[in-house]
Amino acid sequence: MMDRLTDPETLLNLAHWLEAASLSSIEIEHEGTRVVVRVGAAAEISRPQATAVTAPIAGQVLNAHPLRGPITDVAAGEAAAFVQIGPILVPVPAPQAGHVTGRTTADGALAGHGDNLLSLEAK
Amino acid sequence: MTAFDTVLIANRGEIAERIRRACADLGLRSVAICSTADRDAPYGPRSDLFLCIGPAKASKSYLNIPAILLAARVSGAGAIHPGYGFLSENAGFAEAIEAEGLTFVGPPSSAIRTMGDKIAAKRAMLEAGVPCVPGPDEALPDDPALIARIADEIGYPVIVKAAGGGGGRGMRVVATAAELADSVAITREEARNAFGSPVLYIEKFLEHPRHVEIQVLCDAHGHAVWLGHRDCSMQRRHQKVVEEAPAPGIPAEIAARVGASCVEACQRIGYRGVGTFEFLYENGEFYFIEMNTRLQVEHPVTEMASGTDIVVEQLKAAMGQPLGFAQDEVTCTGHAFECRINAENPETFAASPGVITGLHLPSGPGVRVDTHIEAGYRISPFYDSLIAKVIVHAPDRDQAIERMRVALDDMRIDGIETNLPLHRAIFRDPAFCKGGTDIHHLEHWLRTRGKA
Repeated sequence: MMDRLTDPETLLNLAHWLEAASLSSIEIEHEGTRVVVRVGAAAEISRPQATAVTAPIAGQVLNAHPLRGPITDVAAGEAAAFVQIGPILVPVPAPQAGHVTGRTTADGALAGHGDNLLSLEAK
Repeated sequence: MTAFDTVLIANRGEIAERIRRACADLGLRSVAICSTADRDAPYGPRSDLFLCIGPAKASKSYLNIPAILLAARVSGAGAIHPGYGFLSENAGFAEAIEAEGLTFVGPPSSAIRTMGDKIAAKRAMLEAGVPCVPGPDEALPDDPALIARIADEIGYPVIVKAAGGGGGRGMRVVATAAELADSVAITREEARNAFGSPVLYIEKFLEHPRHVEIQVLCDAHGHAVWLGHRDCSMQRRHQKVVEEAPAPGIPAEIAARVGASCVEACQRIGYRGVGTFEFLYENGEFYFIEMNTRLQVEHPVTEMASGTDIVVEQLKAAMGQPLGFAQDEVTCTGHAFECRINAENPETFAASPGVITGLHLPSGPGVRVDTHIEAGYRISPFYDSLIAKVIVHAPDRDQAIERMRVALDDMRIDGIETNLPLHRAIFRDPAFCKGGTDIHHLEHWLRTRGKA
Protein backbone atom coordinates (compact mmCIF):
# COMPACT_ATOMS: atom_id res chain seq x y z
CA MET A 1 0.00 0.00 0.00
CA MET A 2 2.67 2.54 1.03
CA ASP A 3 4.88 1.43 -1.88
CA ARG A 4 2.14 2.40 -4.24
CA LEU A 5 1.51 5.66 -2.46
CA THR A 6 5.14 6.70 -2.74
CA ASP A 7 5.21 5.95 -6.45
CA PRO A 8 5.81 9.34 -8.17
CA GLU A 9 2.96 8.87 -10.59
CA THR A 10 0.49 8.15 -7.78
CA LEU A 11 1.74 11.17 -5.84
CA LEU A 12 1.31 13.38 -8.88
CA ASN A 13 -2.20 12.08 -9.42
CA LEU A 14 -3.02 12.68 -5.75
CA ALA A 15 -1.83 16.25 -6.15
CA HIS A 16 -4.02 16.73 -9.23
CA TRP A 17 -7.05 15.36 -7.39
CA LEU A 18 -6.37 17.74 -4.49
CA GLU A 19 -6.19 20.65 -6.91
CA ALA A 20 -9.37 19.59 -8.65
CA ALA A 21 -11.15 19.30 -5.27
CA SER A 22 -9.77 22.68 -4.06
CA LEU A 23 -7.98 21.06 -1.11
CA SER A 24 -4.52 22.09 0.07
CA SER A 25 -3.11 18.86 1.49
CA ILE A 26 -3.72 15.23 2.34
CA GLU A 27 -2.04 13.00 4.95
CA ILE A 28 -2.09 9.21 4.69
CA GLU A 29 -0.72 7.07 7.52
CA HIS A 30 -0.35 3.31 7.20
CA GLU A 31 1.69 0.87 9.31
CA GLY A 32 3.98 3.52 10.70
CA THR A 33 4.62 5.35 7.47
CA ARG A 34 3.10 8.71 6.76
CA VAL A 35 2.75 10.39 3.40
CA VAL A 36 1.90 14.06 3.19
CA VAL A 37 0.98 15.60 -0.14
CA ARG A 38 0.68 19.38 -0.28
CA VAL A 39 -0.51 21.17 -3.38
CA GLY A 40 2.23 23.82 -3.08
CA ALA A 41 4.85 21.10 -3.25
CA ALA A 42 3.17 19.48 -6.23
CA ALA A 43 3.69 22.71 -8.16
CA GLU A 44 7.44 22.23 -7.85
CA ILE A 45 7.45 18.74 -9.31
CA SER A 46 8.82 18.81 -12.80
CA ARG A 47 5.89 17.88 -14.96
CA PRO A 48 6.05 15.61 -17.93
CA GLN A 49 5.66 17.15 -21.34
CA ALA A 50 2.53 16.51 -23.32
CA THR A 51 1.81 12.78 -23.37
CA ALA A 52 0.56 11.10 -26.52
CA VAL A 53 -2.48 8.88 -26.12
CA THR A 54 -2.82 6.03 -28.60
CA ALA A 55 -5.63 3.77 -29.76
CA PRO A 56 -5.63 0.42 -27.93
CA ILE A 57 -7.41 -1.30 -30.83
CA ALA A 58 -8.34 -0.62 -34.44
CA GLY A 59 -11.69 1.09 -34.94
CA GLN A 60 -13.59 4.31 -35.58
CA VAL A 61 -12.60 7.18 -33.32
CA LEU A 62 -15.09 9.06 -31.17
CA ASN A 63 -13.55 12.18 -29.66
CA ALA A 64 -16.53 12.96 -27.42
CA HIS A 65 -18.33 10.90 -24.82
CA PRO A 66 -21.46 9.49 -26.50
CA LEU A 67 -23.68 10.75 -23.65
CA ARG A 68 -21.69 13.41 -21.82
CA GLY A 69 -20.30 15.26 -24.81
CA PRO A 70 -16.85 16.83 -25.37
CA ILE A 71 -13.89 15.64 -23.32
CA THR A 72 -11.47 18.43 -22.36
CA ASP A 73 -9.99 17.47 -18.97
CA VAL A 74 -9.49 13.94 -17.71
CA ALA A 75 -8.30 12.19 -14.58
CA ALA A 76 -5.89 9.29 -14.90
CA GLY A 77 -7.74 6.25 -16.17
CA GLU A 78 -10.72 8.23 -17.44
CA ALA A 79 -11.72 7.88 -21.08
CA ALA A 80 -10.02 10.55 -23.20
CA ALA A 81 -11.65 9.19 -26.37
CA PHE A 82 -13.45 6.07 -27.57
CA VAL A 83 -12.89 3.58 -30.34
CA GLN A 84 -16.03 2.13 -31.88
CA ILE A 85 -16.21 -1.26 -33.62
CA GLY A 86 -19.79 -1.82 -34.68
CA PRO A 87 -21.80 -1.94 -31.45
CA ILE A 88 -18.67 -2.12 -29.27
CA LEU A 89 -17.35 1.04 -27.65
CA VAL A 90 -13.81 0.76 -26.28
CA PRO A 91 -12.68 3.58 -23.96
CA VAL A 92 -9.21 5.02 -24.52
CA PRO A 93 -7.95 5.59 -20.98
CA ALA A 94 -5.82 8.62 -20.13
CA PRO A 95 -2.45 7.42 -18.79
CA GLN A 96 -2.38 10.48 -16.49
CA ALA A 97 -4.60 13.34 -15.50
CA GLY A 98 -4.44 16.25 -17.87
CA HIS A 99 -5.87 18.63 -20.38
CA VAL A 100 -6.51 17.45 -23.92
CA THR A 101 -4.45 19.66 -26.22
CA GLY A 102 -4.50 18.14 -29.65
CA ARG A 103 -6.75 15.60 -31.27
CA THR A 104 -5.34 14.09 -34.44
CA THR A 105 -8.19 11.96 -35.75
CA ALA A 106 -11.58 13.19 -36.95
CA ASP A 107 -14.73 11.71 -35.47
CA GLY A 108 -15.66 8.52 -37.30
CA ALA A 109 -12.24 8.14 -38.96
CA LEU A 110 -10.46 4.79 -38.68
CA ALA A 111 -7.45 4.44 -36.40
CA GLY A 112 -5.21 1.43 -35.96
CA HIS A 113 -3.70 -0.06 -32.82
CA GLY A 114 -1.04 2.34 -31.52
CA ASP A 115 -2.10 5.33 -33.66
CA ASN A 116 -1.82 8.71 -31.88
CA LEU A 117 -5.26 10.06 -31.05
CA LEU A 118 -4.52 13.06 -28.84
CA SER A 119 -2.03 14.78 -26.53
CA LEU A 120 -2.51 15.30 -22.82
CA GLU A 121 -0.85 18.14 -20.99
CA ALA A 122 -0.50 17.78 -17.25
CA LYS A 123 -2.13 20.66 -15.44
CA MET B 1 -21.53 -18.02 -49.45
CA THR B 2 -21.93 -14.25 -49.52
CA ALA B 3 -20.77 -11.88 -52.25
CA PHE B 4 -17.90 -9.60 -51.23
CA ASP B 5 -16.00 -6.69 -52.69
CA THR B 6 -13.39 -6.20 -49.93
CA VAL B 7 -10.80 -8.70 -48.78
CA LEU B 8 -8.88 -8.44 -45.53
CA ILE B 9 -5.40 -9.96 -45.86
CA ALA B 10 -4.61 -11.66 -42.54
CA ASN B 11 -0.90 -11.99 -43.21
CA ARG B 12 2.27 -10.02 -43.85
CA GLY B 13 5.36 -9.86 -46.04
CA GLU B 14 5.58 -11.10 -49.62
CA ILE B 15 2.33 -13.06 -49.48
CA ALA B 16 0.39 -9.99 -48.31
CA GLU B 17 1.70 -8.16 -51.37
CA ARG B 18 0.91 -11.17 -53.61
CA ILE B 19 -2.71 -11.33 -52.39
CA ARG B 20 -3.12 -7.55 -52.65
CA ARG B 21 -2.12 -7.74 -56.31
CA ALA B 22 -4.58 -10.57 -57.00
CA CYS B 23 -7.35 -8.53 -55.36
CA ALA B 24 -6.46 -5.55 -57.56
CA ASP B 25 -6.56 -7.79 -60.66
CA LEU B 26 -10.12 -8.78 -59.77
CA GLY B 27 -11.21 -5.24 -58.88
CA LEU B 28 -11.56 -6.15 -55.20
CA ARG B 29 -10.66 -3.69 -52.42
CA SER B 30 -7.84 -4.90 -50.20
CA VAL B 31 -7.43 -4.29 -46.49
CA ALA B 32 -3.90 -4.95 -45.29
CA ILE B 33 -3.36 -5.42 -41.58
CA CYS B 34 -0.12 -5.15 -39.66
CA SER B 35 1.48 -5.31 -36.27
CA THR B 36 3.37 -2.35 -34.85
CA ALA B 37 6.58 -3.94 -36.22
CA ASP B 38 5.23 -3.78 -39.79
CA ARG B 39 3.86 -0.22 -39.81
CA ASP B 40 6.31 0.71 -42.57
CA ALA B 41 5.49 -2.26 -44.81
CA PRO B 42 5.64 -1.04 -48.43
CA TYR B 43 2.39 -2.83 -49.34
CA GLY B 44 0.50 -0.76 -46.74
CA PRO B 45 0.08 2.39 -48.81
CA ARG B 46 -0.63 0.31 -51.94
CA SER B 47 -3.60 -1.34 -50.21
CA ASP B 48 -6.98 0.35 -50.13
CA LEU B 49 -6.81 0.38 -46.33
CA PHE B 50 -3.91 -0.36 -43.98
CA LEU B 51 -4.72 -1.00 -40.37
CA CYS B 52 -2.48 -1.80 -37.42
CA ILE B 53 -4.21 -4.41 -35.27
CA GLY B 54 -1.76 -5.11 -32.45
CA PRO B 55 1.76 -5.34 -31.06
CA ALA B 56 4.72 -7.00 -32.77
CA LYS B 57 4.27 -10.36 -31.04
CA ALA B 58 2.36 -12.56 -33.52
CA SER B 59 0.06 -13.93 -30.80
CA LYS B 60 -1.15 -10.35 -30.23
CA SER B 61 -1.56 -9.47 -33.92
CA TYR B 62 -1.33 -11.95 -36.83
CA LEU B 63 -2.54 -14.83 -34.64
CA ASN B 64 -5.11 -12.77 -32.73
CA ILE B 65 -8.46 -14.00 -34.09
CA PRO B 66 -10.71 -11.45 -32.28
CA ALA B 67 -8.49 -8.53 -33.39
CA ILE B 68 -8.61 -9.73 -37.02
CA LEU B 69 -12.39 -10.23 -36.94
CA LEU B 70 -12.89 -6.76 -35.43
CA ALA B 71 -10.59 -5.27 -38.09
CA ALA B 72 -12.72 -6.98 -40.76
CA ARG B 73 -15.80 -5.44 -39.19
CA VAL B 74 -14.50 -1.85 -39.04
CA SER B 75 -13.03 -2.06 -42.54
CA GLY B 76 -16.15 -3.50 -44.13
CA ALA B 77 -14.30 -6.58 -45.41
CA GLY B 78 -16.56 -9.39 -46.62
CA ALA B 79 -13.79 -11.97 -46.90
CA ILE B 80 -10.56 -12.84 -45.12
CA HIS B 81 -7.58 -14.33 -46.94
CA PRO B 82 -5.26 -16.10 -44.48
CA GLY B 83 -2.22 -16.47 -46.78
CA TYR B 84 0.11 -19.23 -45.54
CA GLY B 85 1.44 -19.90 -42.04
CA PHE B 86 -0.18 -17.98 -39.14
CA LEU B 87 -3.93 -18.89 -39.08
CA SER B 88 -4.15 -20.38 -42.57
CA GLU B 89 -4.80 -23.96 -41.40
CA ASN B 90 -6.63 -23.12 -38.20
CA ALA B 91 -10.11 -24.65 -38.45
CA GLY B 92 -11.27 -22.52 -35.49
CA PHE B 93 -10.35 -19.36 -37.40
CA ALA B 94 -12.26 -20.50 -40.49
CA GLU B 95 -15.24 -21.35 -38.28
CA ALA B 96 -15.14 -17.98 -36.50
CA ILE B 97 -15.11 -16.22 -39.90
CA GLU B 98 -18.03 -18.33 -41.12
CA ALA B 99 -19.91 -17.56 -37.85
CA GLU B 100 -19.44 -13.81 -38.48
CA GLY B 101 -21.17 -14.24 -41.84
CA LEU B 102 -17.89 -13.53 -43.67
CA THR B 103 -16.13 -15.64 -46.29
CA PHE B 104 -12.95 -17.53 -45.44
CA VAL B 105 -10.80 -17.64 -48.57
CA GLY B 106 -10.03 -21.32 -48.22
CA PRO B 107 -11.80 -24.62 -47.76
CA PRO B 108 -14.71 -25.24 -45.37
CA SER B 109 -13.50 -25.58 -41.76
CA SER B 110 -14.60 -29.24 -41.79
CA ALA B 111 -12.07 -30.02 -44.55
CA ILE B 112 -9.29 -28.27 -42.60
CA ARG B 113 -10.18 -30.34 -39.55
CA THR B 114 -10.19 -33.64 -41.47
CA MET B 115 -6.84 -32.92 -43.08
CA GLY B 116 -5.33 -31.63 -39.82
CA ASP B 117 -5.92 -35.07 -38.27
CA LYS B 118 -3.34 -37.15 -40.10
CA ILE B 119 -5.12 -40.45 -39.43
CA ALA B 120 -8.49 -39.13 -40.68
CA ALA B 121 -6.70 -37.63 -43.70
CA LYS B 122 -5.03 -40.92 -44.56
CA ARG B 123 -8.34 -42.76 -44.26
CA ALA B 124 -10.01 -40.21 -46.58
CA MET B 125 -7.17 -40.59 -49.08
CA LEU B 126 -7.31 -44.39 -49.08
CA GLU B 127 -11.07 -44.23 -49.70
CA ALA B 128 -10.45 -42.01 -52.75
CA GLY B 129 -7.76 -44.32 -54.07
CA VAL B 130 -4.85 -41.98 -53.29
CA PRO B 131 -1.72 -44.09 -52.70
CA CYS B 132 -0.47 -43.94 -49.11
CA VAL B 133 2.63 -45.03 -47.22
CA PRO B 134 2.22 -48.67 -46.01
CA GLY B 135 0.81 -48.74 -42.47
CA PRO B 136 -2.64 -48.89 -40.83
CA ASP B 137 -4.99 -45.92 -41.15
CA GLU B 138 -5.73 -45.99 -37.46
CA ALA B 139 -4.22 -44.85 -34.18
CA LEU B 140 -1.54 -46.97 -32.52
CA PRO B 141 -2.88 -49.06 -29.64
CA ASP B 142 -1.33 -48.79 -26.15
CA ASP B 143 -0.30 -52.45 -25.88
CA PRO B 144 3.45 -52.71 -26.72
CA ALA B 145 3.03 -56.26 -28.02
CA LEU B 146 0.36 -55.14 -30.48
CA ILE B 147 2.52 -52.19 -31.60
CA ALA B 148 5.46 -54.55 -32.16
CA ARG B 149 3.30 -56.85 -34.28
CA ILE B 150 2.10 -53.92 -36.45
CA ALA B 151 5.70 -52.72 -36.96
CA ASP B 152 6.82 -56.25 -37.88
CA GLU B 153 4.05 -56.50 -40.48
CA ILE B 154 5.09 -53.16 -42.05
CA GLY B 155 8.80 -54.05 -41.93
CA TYR B 156 11.61 -51.91 -40.48
CA PRO B 157 12.57 -49.11 -40.66
CA VAL B 158 9.25 -47.56 -39.60
CA ILE B 159 8.33 -44.02 -38.62
CA VAL B 160 6.15 -43.13 -35.61
CA LYS B 161 4.16 -39.93 -36.13
CA ALA B 162 1.82 -37.71 -34.10
CA ALA B 163 -1.69 -37.62 -35.57
CA GLY B 164 -1.85 -33.89 -34.81
CA GLY B 165 1.64 -33.15 -36.14
CA GLY B 166 2.87 -32.08 -39.54
CA GLY B 167 5.55 -30.05 -41.25
CA GLY B 168 8.27 -32.37 -40.00
CA ARG B 169 7.37 -32.10 -36.30
CA GLY B 170 6.30 -34.92 -33.97
CA MET B 171 7.89 -37.90 -35.69
CA ARG B 172 10.61 -40.46 -34.97
CA VAL B 173 12.30 -43.05 -37.17
CA VAL B 174 12.70 -46.53 -35.68
CA ALA B 175 15.37 -48.74 -37.28
CA THR B 176 14.97 -51.94 -35.26
CA ALA B 177 12.43 -53.72 -33.07
CA ALA B 178 14.62 -53.11 -30.00
CA GLU B 179 14.12 -49.32 -30.22
CA LEU B 180 10.39 -49.43 -30.85
CA ALA B 181 8.89 -49.26 -27.35
CA ASP B 182 11.09 -46.37 -26.20
CA SER B 183 10.54 -44.42 -29.42
CA VAL B 184 6.77 -44.78 -29.16
CA ALA B 185 6.80 -43.63 -25.52
CA ILE B 186 8.93 -40.55 -26.25
CA THR B 187 6.96 -39.55 -29.35
CA ARG B 188 3.68 -39.99 -27.47
CA GLU B 189 4.88 -37.64 -24.73
CA GLU B 190 6.14 -35.10 -27.27
CA ALA B 191 2.85 -35.26 -29.15
CA ARG B 192 0.89 -34.73 -25.94
CA ASN B 193 2.97 -31.65 -25.12
CA ALA B 194 3.31 -30.15 -28.60
CA PHE B 195 -0.08 -30.91 -30.17
CA GLY B 196 -2.31 -31.54 -27.16
CA SER B 197 -3.03 -35.11 -28.29
CA PRO B 198 -1.02 -38.26 -27.61
CA VAL B 199 -2.51 -40.07 -30.62
CA LEU B 200 0.16 -41.68 -32.82
CA TYR B 201 0.26 -43.71 -36.00
CA ILE B 202 2.96 -45.74 -37.67
CA GLU B 203 4.13 -46.08 -41.27
CA LYS B 204 6.87 -47.57 -43.36
CA PHE B 205 9.90 -45.26 -43.37
CA LEU B 206 11.11 -44.56 -46.88
CA GLU B 207 14.87 -44.07 -46.93
CA HIS B 208 15.56 -42.06 -50.07
CA PRO B 209 12.30 -40.46 -51.17
CA ARG B 210 11.75 -37.25 -53.05
CA HIS B 211 9.11 -34.73 -51.96
CA VAL B 212 6.64 -34.36 -54.80
CA GLU B 213 3.34 -32.52 -54.45
CA ILE B 214 0.23 -32.03 -56.51
CA GLN B 215 -1.61 -28.69 -56.70
CA VAL B 216 -5.40 -28.82 -56.83
CA LEU B 217 -7.99 -26.14 -57.47
CA CYS B 218 -11.69 -26.63 -56.64
CA ASP B 219 -14.78 -24.47 -56.96
CA ALA B 220 -17.83 -24.59 -54.70
CA HIS B 221 -19.85 -26.52 -57.30
CA GLY B 222 -18.02 -29.82 -57.25
CA HIS B 223 -15.57 -29.05 -60.07
CA ALA B 224 -11.90 -29.70 -59.39
CA VAL B 225 -8.69 -29.88 -61.40
CA TRP B 226 -5.05 -30.64 -60.65
CA LEU B 227 -2.46 -28.26 -62.04
CA GLY B 228 0.55 -30.52 -62.34
CA HIS B 229 3.23 -31.43 -59.82
CA ARG B 230 6.19 -29.80 -58.06
CA ASP B 231 9.39 -31.18 -56.59
CA CYS B 232 10.31 -29.70 -53.21
CA SER B 233 13.04 -32.16 -52.23
CA MET B 234 15.68 -29.50 -51.60
CA GLN B 235 15.01 -29.05 -47.90
CA ARG B 236 16.95 -28.14 -44.79
CA ARG B 237 15.40 -29.14 -41.46
CA HIS B 238 12.08 -29.81 -43.23
CA GLN B 239 12.09 -26.26 -44.63
CA LYS B 240 11.93 -26.09 -48.41
CA VAL B 241 14.74 -24.08 -50.00
CA VAL B 242 14.31 -24.59 -53.77
CA GLU B 243 11.20 -25.82 -55.60
CA GLU B 244 10.56 -26.71 -59.21
CA ALA B 245 7.71 -27.60 -61.54
CA PRO B 246 7.29 -30.10 -62.96
CA ALA B 247 9.06 -32.65 -60.75
CA PRO B 248 11.69 -34.08 -63.10
CA GLY B 249 11.51 -37.64 -64.41
CA ILE B 250 7.98 -38.57 -63.29
CA PRO B 251 6.18 -40.67 -65.92
CA ALA B 252 3.13 -38.75 -67.17
CA GLU B 253 0.78 -41.73 -66.81
CA ILE B 254 1.69 -42.24 -63.12
CA ALA B 255 1.25 -38.50 -62.38
CA ALA B 256 -2.08 -38.46 -64.23
CA ARG B 257 -3.38 -41.39 -62.18
CA VAL B 258 -2.36 -39.82 -58.87
CA GLY B 259 -3.60 -36.36 -59.93
CA ALA B 260 -7.01 -37.81 -60.79
CA SER B 261 -7.22 -39.53 -57.39
CA CYS B 262 -6.39 -36.20 -55.66
CA VAL B 263 -9.25 -34.57 -57.56
CA GLU B 264 -11.57 -37.36 -56.46
CA ALA B 265 -10.48 -36.96 -52.84
CA CYS B 266 -11.29 -33.23 -53.03
CA GLN B 267 -14.75 -33.94 -54.39
CA ARG B 268 -15.41 -36.54 -51.67
CA ILE B 269 -14.53 -34.21 -48.79
CA GLY B 270 -16.30 -31.17 -50.29
CA TYR B 271 -13.06 -29.26 -50.73
CA ARG B 272 -13.07 -25.66 -51.99
CA GLY B 273 -10.25 -23.39 -53.14
CA VAL B 274 -6.61 -24.34 -53.53
CA GLY B 275 -4.84 -27.19 -51.83
CA THR B 276 -1.75 -29.34 -52.09
CA PHE B 277 -1.35 -33.10 -51.72
CA GLU B 278 2.15 -33.83 -50.48
CA PHE B 279 3.74 -37.14 -51.41
CA LEU B 280 6.94 -39.03 -50.91
CA TYR B 281 8.09 -40.43 -54.24
CA GLU B 282 10.40 -43.45 -54.36
CA ASN B 283 11.03 -46.12 -57.00
CA GLY B 284 8.31 -44.76 -59.27
CA GLU B 285 5.61 -44.83 -56.55
CA PHE B 286 3.73 -41.98 -54.88
CA TYR B 287 2.98 -42.19 -51.12
CA PHE B 288 0.59 -39.58 -49.61
CA ILE B 289 1.94 -37.84 -46.50
CA GLU B 290 -0.36 -34.88 -45.88
CA MET B 291 -2.60 -32.30 -47.46
CA ASN B 292 -1.98 -28.58 -47.05
CA THR B 293 -5.35 -26.86 -47.06
CA ARG B 294 -4.01 -23.46 -48.05
CA LEU B 295 -2.02 -21.50 -50.58
CA GLN B 296 1.63 -22.54 -50.45
CA VAL B 297 4.84 -20.52 -50.57
CA GLU B 298 5.89 -22.39 -53.72
CA HIS B 299 2.67 -21.85 -55.69
CA PRO B 300 4.43 -19.58 -58.26
CA VAL B 301 6.33 -22.45 -59.94
CA THR B 302 3.00 -24.07 -60.77
CA GLU B 303 1.64 -20.70 -61.92
CA MET B 304 4.57 -20.32 -64.32
CA ALA B 305 4.32 -23.86 -65.69
CA SER B 306 0.52 -23.98 -65.98
CA GLY B 307 -0.13 -20.33 -66.88
CA THR B 308 -2.76 -20.13 -64.13
CA ASP B 309 -2.97 -17.33 -61.54
CA ILE B 310 -3.61 -19.54 -58.52
CA VAL B 311 -4.43 -16.70 -56.11
CA VAL B 312 -6.92 -15.14 -58.52
CA GLU B 313 -8.55 -18.57 -59.00
CA GLN B 314 -8.62 -19.05 -55.22
CA LEU B 315 -10.45 -15.74 -54.76
CA LYS B 316 -12.87 -16.56 -57.59
CA ALA B 317 -13.67 -19.90 -55.93
CA ALA B 318 -14.31 -18.07 -52.65
CA MET B 319 -16.69 -15.74 -54.52
CA GLY B 320 -18.64 -18.78 -55.65
CA GLN B 321 -17.64 -18.55 -59.30
CA PRO B 322 -17.50 -21.85 -61.16
CA LEU B 323 -14.11 -23.01 -62.46
CA GLY B 324 -13.53 -21.46 -65.86
CA PHE B 325 -11.70 -24.45 -67.35
CA ALA B 326 -11.72 -28.25 -67.32
CA GLN B 327 -8.92 -30.74 -66.67
CA ASP B 328 -8.27 -31.35 -70.36
CA GLU B 329 -7.60 -27.62 -70.80
CA VAL B 330 -4.78 -27.67 -68.21
CA THR B 331 -1.44 -27.76 -69.96
CA CYS B 332 1.93 -27.44 -68.26
CA THR B 333 4.79 -26.23 -70.43
CA GLY B 334 8.48 -25.65 -69.84
CA HIS B 335 10.16 -25.72 -66.46
CA ALA B 336 10.05 -23.36 -63.46
CA PHE B 337 12.25 -22.93 -60.39
CA GLU B 338 11.79 -20.92 -57.21
CA CYS B 339 14.53 -19.90 -54.77
CA ARG B 340 13.42 -18.79 -51.32
CA ILE B 341 15.58 -15.81 -50.37
CA ASN B 342 15.92 -15.62 -46.60
CA ALA B 343 17.49 -12.93 -44.43
CA GLU B 344 19.97 -15.28 -42.82
CA ASN B 345 23.65 -16.15 -42.73
CA PRO B 346 24.30 -18.55 -45.65
CA GLU B 347 26.67 -20.68 -43.53
CA THR B 348 25.15 -20.72 -40.04
CA PHE B 349 21.54 -19.94 -41.04
CA ALA B 350 21.27 -17.46 -38.15
CA ALA B 351 18.60 -14.82 -38.83
CA SER B 352 19.93 -11.50 -40.07
CA PRO B 353 17.45 -8.70 -39.40
CA GLY B 354 18.34 -5.12 -40.24
CA VAL B 355 17.94 -2.37 -42.83
CA ILE B 356 18.28 -3.08 -46.54
CA THR B 357 20.62 -0.35 -47.71
CA GLY B 358 20.66 -1.29 -51.39
CA LEU B 359 18.60 -3.60 -53.60
CA HIS B 360 18.76 -4.79 -57.16
CA LEU B 361 16.16 -7.32 -58.31
CA PRO B 362 16.74 -9.49 -61.38
CA SER B 363 14.48 -9.07 -64.40
CA GLY B 364 14.10 -10.19 -67.98
CA PRO B 365 12.01 -12.74 -69.89
CA GLY B 366 10.81 -15.59 -67.68
CA VAL B 367 12.06 -13.96 -64.46
CA ARG B 368 9.70 -13.05 -61.63
CA VAL B 369 10.40 -11.83 -58.10
CA ASP B 370 7.68 -11.99 -55.45
CA THR B 371 8.70 -9.72 -52.61
CA HIS B 372 7.62 -6.91 -50.32
CA ILE B 373 11.07 -5.47 -49.68
CA GLU B 374 12.63 -2.32 -51.08
CA ALA B 375 15.75 -0.26 -50.32
CA GLY B 376 15.43 1.28 -46.87
CA TYR B 377 13.11 -1.46 -45.62
CA ARG B 378 13.87 -2.80 -42.16
CA ILE B 379 13.66 -6.60 -41.80
CA SER B 380 11.97 -7.27 -38.49
CA PRO B 381 13.39 -9.89 -36.10
CA PHE B 382 9.89 -10.95 -35.07
CA TYR B 383 8.86 -13.08 -38.03
CA ASP B 384 9.90 -15.62 -40.62
CA SER B 385 13.11 -14.75 -42.48
CA LEU B 386 11.63 -15.19 -46.01
CA ILE B 387 12.04 -11.85 -47.79
CA ALA B 388 11.74 -12.71 -51.48
CA LYS B 389 11.13 -15.51 -53.96
CA VAL B 390 13.03 -15.56 -57.22
CA ILE B 391 11.12 -17.51 -59.83
CA VAL B 392 12.23 -18.35 -63.37
CA HIS B 393 10.52 -20.13 -66.25
CA ALA B 394 12.15 -21.43 -69.45
CA PRO B 395 11.34 -23.94 -72.22
CA ASP B 396 13.22 -26.78 -70.47
CA ARG B 397 14.98 -27.59 -67.19
CA ASP B 398 18.52 -26.87 -68.39
CA GLN B 399 17.54 -23.47 -69.73
CA ALA B 400 15.66 -22.73 -66.50
CA ILE B 401 18.79 -23.58 -64.48
CA GLU B 402 20.83 -21.20 -66.62
CA ARG B 403 18.20 -18.50 -66.28
CA MET B 404 18.18 -18.90 -62.50
CA ARG B 405 22.01 -18.70 -62.35
CA VAL B 406 21.92 -15.36 -64.18
CA ALA B 407 19.06 -14.07 -62.03
CA LEU B 408 20.86 -15.02 -58.80
CA ASP B 409 24.09 -13.43 -60.01
CA ASP B 410 22.22 -10.24 -60.93
CA MET B 411 20.42 -9.99 -57.60
CA ARG B 412 21.96 -7.80 -54.91
CA ILE B 413 20.71 -7.19 -51.38
CA ASP B 414 22.90 -4.89 -49.27
CA GLY B 415 22.88 -4.20 -45.55
CA ILE B 416 21.83 -7.67 -44.35
CA GLU B 417 23.04 -11.23 -44.87
CA THR B 418 21.00 -13.46 -47.16
CA ASN B 419 21.15 -17.04 -48.43
CA LEU B 420 21.84 -15.84 -52.02
CA PRO B 421 25.35 -17.43 -51.93
CA LEU B 422 23.78 -20.77 -50.93
CA HIS B 423 21.36 -20.64 -53.89
CA ARG B 424 24.18 -19.73 -56.29
CA ALA B 425 26.10 -22.81 -55.06
CA ILE B 426 23.04 -25.09 -55.28
CA PHE B 427 22.52 -24.12 -58.92
CA ARG B 428 26.10 -25.23 -59.62
CA ASP B 429 25.80 -28.56 -57.77
CA PRO B 430 26.05 -31.32 -60.41
CA ALA B 431 23.62 -33.68 -58.60
CA PHE B 432 20.94 -31.02 -58.25
CA CYS B 433 21.45 -29.89 -61.83
CA LYS B 434 21.03 -33.48 -63.00
CA GLY B 435 17.64 -33.58 -61.20
CA GLY B 436 15.78 -36.02 -59.01
CA THR B 437 17.79 -35.59 -55.76
CA ASP B 438 16.12 -36.94 -52.63
CA ILE B 439 14.99 -35.05 -49.51
CA HIS B 440 18.30 -35.70 -47.72
CA HIS B 441 20.49 -34.39 -50.51
CA LEU B 442 20.73 -30.75 -49.41
CA GLU B 443 21.58 -31.54 -45.78
CA HIS B 444 24.16 -34.12 -46.88
CA TRP B 445 25.64 -31.60 -49.36
CA LEU B 446 25.79 -28.91 -46.63
CA ARG B 447 27.60 -31.32 -44.28
CA THR B 448 30.17 -32.43 -46.82
CA ARG B 449 30.84 -29.33 -48.93
CA GLY B 450 34.34 -27.96 -48.58
CA LYS B 451 35.51 -31.29 -47.16
CA ALA B 452 36.69 -32.73 -50.47
